Amino acid sequence: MEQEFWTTAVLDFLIALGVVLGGVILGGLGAFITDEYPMFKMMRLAEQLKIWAMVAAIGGTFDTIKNFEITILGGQLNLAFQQIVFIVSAFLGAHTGTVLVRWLIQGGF
Amino acid sequence: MAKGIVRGFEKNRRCFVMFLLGIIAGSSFFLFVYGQKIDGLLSERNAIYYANNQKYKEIMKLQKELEQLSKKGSSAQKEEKRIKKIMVEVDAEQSYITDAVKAQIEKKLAPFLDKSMDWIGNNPEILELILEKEQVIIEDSQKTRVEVHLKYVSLYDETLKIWLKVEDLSGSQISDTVK
Repeated sequence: MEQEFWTTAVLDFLIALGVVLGGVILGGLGAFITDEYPMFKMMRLAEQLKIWAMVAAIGGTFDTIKNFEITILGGQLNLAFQQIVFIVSAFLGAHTGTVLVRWLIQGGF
Repeated sequence: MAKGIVRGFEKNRRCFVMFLLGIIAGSSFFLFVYGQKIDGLLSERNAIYYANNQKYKEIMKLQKELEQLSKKGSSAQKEEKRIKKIMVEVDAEQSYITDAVKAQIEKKLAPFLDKSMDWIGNNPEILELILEKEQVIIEDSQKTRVEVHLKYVSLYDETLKIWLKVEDLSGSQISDTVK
């Protein structure tokens, strides 16, 4: 049970990170092909994709919210806490991706 | 041949995917290495386009202005009045002096015919330089010598009209040279 929790947390983190990084890189290529500023576009995409990366990582907002309802109303607060950790993990992954892209482009926070 | 290609593709699916991934990886690497430079070059290009557009607009504006000015200039040139007639009024004691001086001065001023009235109007000192103290010899039995003084100049209706006063120099000591 505990292992599954950590596996999911790491997966959420990496999926969110991958969505941001992959989206930004391929978006940058698309910008280059369509004669736009690639780095500027990558920076904007990193900001825009952050929320969607989280959503993709945790598998849809409605499921998570429903899980909250079930676990809290069912008195299983530890499961609700797990959901919060998953969301935070996905957020951290997406944020890490954004920060990495920012480092790459601007050379700092 | 097409079948062969499809068969080859099916056999080497993994290779094809790896090839695609390689392309993505390579272009990503290229983007990381040259991204900043591309941004800079694109920005420079846009700045050049902008400057070029501004210059083009400026050229168009100047061309329009030039066209308008040339139109205005040609119409002004058409409207410019020129001297068609020169009239000389001489104030002298003897009528034969009047006629002779009139004829000679009119001959002297003949080059002013068909010249711009504005030009003479703006530079009346030219006439003064030519006519003031001009000595005229009248070929008669006595060879009368007179000196001309400019009184008035008028430019009206394509006519240059000049009033002169004549002073008889026959009685006084004068040189033989004529100015």
